[in-house]
Amino acid sequence: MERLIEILQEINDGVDYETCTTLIDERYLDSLAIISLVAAIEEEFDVQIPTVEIVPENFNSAKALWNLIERLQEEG
Amino acid sequence: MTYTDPVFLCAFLPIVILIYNVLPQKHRWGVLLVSSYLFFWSISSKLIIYLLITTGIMYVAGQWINKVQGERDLKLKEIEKEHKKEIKAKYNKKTKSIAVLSTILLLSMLIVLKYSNFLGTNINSLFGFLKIPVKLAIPKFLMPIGISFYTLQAISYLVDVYKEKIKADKNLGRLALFISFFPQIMEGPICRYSDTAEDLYNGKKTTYTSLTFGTQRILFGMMKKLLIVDRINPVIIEIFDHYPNYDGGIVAIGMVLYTLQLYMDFSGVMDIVIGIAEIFGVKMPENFKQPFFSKTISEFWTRWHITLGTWFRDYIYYPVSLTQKCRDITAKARKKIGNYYGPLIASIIALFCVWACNGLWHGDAWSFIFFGMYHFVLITIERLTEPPVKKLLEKTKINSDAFPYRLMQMIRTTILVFIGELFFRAKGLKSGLNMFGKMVFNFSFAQFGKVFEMGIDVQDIVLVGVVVVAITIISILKEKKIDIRQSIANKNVFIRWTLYYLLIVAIILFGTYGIGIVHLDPIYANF
Amino acid sequence: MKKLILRFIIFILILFIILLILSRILLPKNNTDEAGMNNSRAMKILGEESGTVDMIVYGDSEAYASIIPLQLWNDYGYTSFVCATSGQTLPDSCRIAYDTLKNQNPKIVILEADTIYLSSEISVPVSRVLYEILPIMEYHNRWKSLSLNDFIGKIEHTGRDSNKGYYYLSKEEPADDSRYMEESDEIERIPRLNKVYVKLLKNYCELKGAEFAIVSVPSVNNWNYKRHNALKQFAEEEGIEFIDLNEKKDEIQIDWSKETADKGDHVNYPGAKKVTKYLGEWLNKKNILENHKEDINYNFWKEDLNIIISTGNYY
Repeated sequence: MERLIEILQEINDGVDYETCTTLIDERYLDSLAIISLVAAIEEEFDVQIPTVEIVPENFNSAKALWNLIERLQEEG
Repeated sequence: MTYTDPVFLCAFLPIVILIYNVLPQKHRWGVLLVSSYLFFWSISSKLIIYLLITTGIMYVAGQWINKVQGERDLKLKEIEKEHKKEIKAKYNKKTKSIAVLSTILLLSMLIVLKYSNFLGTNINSLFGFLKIPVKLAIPKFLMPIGISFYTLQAISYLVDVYKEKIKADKNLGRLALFISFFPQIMEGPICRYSDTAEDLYNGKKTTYTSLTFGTQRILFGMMKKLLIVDRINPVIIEIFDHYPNYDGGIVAIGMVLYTLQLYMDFSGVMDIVIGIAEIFGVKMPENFKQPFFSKTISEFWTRWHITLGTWFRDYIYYPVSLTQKCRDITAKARKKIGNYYGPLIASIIALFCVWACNGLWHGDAWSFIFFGMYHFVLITIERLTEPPVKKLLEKTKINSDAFPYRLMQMIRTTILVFIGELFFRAKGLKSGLNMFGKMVFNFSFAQFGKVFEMGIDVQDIVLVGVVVVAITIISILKEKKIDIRQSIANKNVFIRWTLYYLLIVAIILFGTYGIGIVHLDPIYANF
Repeated sequence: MKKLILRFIIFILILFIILLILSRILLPKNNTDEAGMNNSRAMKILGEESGTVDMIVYGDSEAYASIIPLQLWNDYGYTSFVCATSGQTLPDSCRIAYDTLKNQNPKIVILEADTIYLSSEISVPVSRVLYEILPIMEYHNRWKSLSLNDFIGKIEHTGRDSNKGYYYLSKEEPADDSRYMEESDEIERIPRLNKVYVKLLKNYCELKGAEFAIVSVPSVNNWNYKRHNALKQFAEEEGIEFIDLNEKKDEIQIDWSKETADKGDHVNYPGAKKVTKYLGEWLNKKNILENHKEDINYNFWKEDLNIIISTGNYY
């Protein structure tokens, strides 16, 4: 989780990722940021995020994103 | 019949609302479906067959994919873990081919009906250029209303079923209603199955709140349409048809007025559509979010025709930028040029696809393709310059969150949008370039008075000004997240009714309707 | 629920009252173009003294280009008025009849036949009824030219037309009449709704004590034998007198090389004189109209005739 927040901060450091739940809705993360994020997560956590998972619900908060990563790791 | 037609608003709609509410809940979806087909028939008559074919394809392909997925899940239960991947891949390949095939079917219907003229003409001129003595006969098709909109809805449904975001609908009626619902059929918003299908089918009773809120929204939309759109139309027609007679100053007026007209027309219709849906208990996605307050072009496209933007994002941008090829590129490039410019390569490839499609979606002409490429280039430049600009701002200690800076960004973005819409409206790419040239090289305020010779007078301009100011104030309030409708609802009856009366009287008194008025066809209904 | 419906009714009632008040303000205060009146040529009849017009003609431009009320006055002492407007469709004819028969009781009303083949959208009759109830719907655009008089002034119809609705055309553009009124057995169907409007108009005129007749004035472009057949059949079914002046081409003898203003669409003044002459003889034979020439109450007709003669355009 800490590593994830580091990754997020690299992309946009103007957000409090611990509390923010509107990363997509408020445009803190735009479509380019999503691509960077996906690439970084895939490398860091050794998972593959399929396009179907790219929905606001999974990206709106660091917590949701972390849940997604954990789920993908389990499914392996 | 259009949504501002008195026959629609004063007869068709009230009758549908009445029947809808009188019948028991389980039959209400049927009322909506029948009235949707009647509405479609009244505009496109026999061409309704295309809509029915699309519905059929959606249903059959959806069920088929569903069945294959069901078989797969049964197999997966029986089989041991090491074979699971194999089985999954085998079945997914099958569902993929169904989804691809049906999408191709849907798209080819759209392409044949919408683009055969454009393709034919261009192929013929290519043959002419290459001196090939072949001339294709160019077929002329009549387009059913809203095909550009409902085809996108149909594709998104099938892709979502294939990606298992939603389950295929077993109920043909619900599916048919989702694709044909009469308020949205002409100009969208482009809805997702998960957004509206359930609400549409549920048949919620019209309540006091939904009726009043819906009516407010409809009146607001009518005000935009009736007070502004047709009033400024003669000036726009004159300037765009006879631009060689005028200097750059007048062309600039035409450009600004056209953008205003497009916004009032499209967002006005959206207000009416969303208001009508609200009366039937359906919450439709918003299509506009104060677009002229955008700081960048990419932000503008998340606030203008939102449902088209998100459609392209979800079904073109992400799928393209996350193909295996693009993922590889991103992974490699990140290591070499960093975490910003690395992913940007894939993003630009995907953006190009999005904007080529966006341009073409608007119509079969080179000026629309230019329009798409114009925005593609602007967004790419924005992306490329973002890090250096950020650094520059940090060095010079300019606060990018301060109001003057944001205002400057908004004005810049709006001007860029104006220029894009100039090409969008111009008759062909050549006149667009000529008009743009006039603004750059031949700009003056000398001819401004000529506007009054184009079919509007001082009173018209004052009226347009007042409405624009009013809508700007409302937009600022919305931007500040103040719920205007709720605060109106909290006021006492006297104030509320006065507001209603003012709005209705303004529409009746200042509306452009009646003898001698030529109405502009809703602009987006032709796309 | 009951409370809601009650509230809704009160809301609509208040809205209606507001619109009525605004209608009074926006309604033109006179029957002239300057005052903003629509259909002002036809509405000039409101400036005639009430009860003095014995024949009224409704119809489109065919009617106002072909029938000359002053000639009927000069020849027979008949008083008539042509309440025609360009492109007048039947819903408009009905509405103008409703407005003009309020203070005139003609002995005969004539409908010119061309309008029976002009179709109108379904929204037209609805809007015309609405215009009668709430004039703001028709005259809302007058917000631009409102004056103090619109708020406090009385409505007075002082606009008059010495030509009594006739529109003088002097141009000459020859027509090709080689196929004019070729005999045929075919029928051109009358739009179904238009039949309803004609019946409505007929009933209303008869209610007001006027005889109702249909006249088709000569026009190469707008009339043919198929229309003649259809209308003849319809008139017989409804018991309406119908005379087709196109069919009487040998008696009226319009010279289509000279007597049309626009290649056979409308007759010009010499053509209109022939049409009116025939119409006068027909009316004379019917013997339902009075000769008012010796009646001093009708002296203003003489004055109107003199005004037109003094313009030198004709007579």
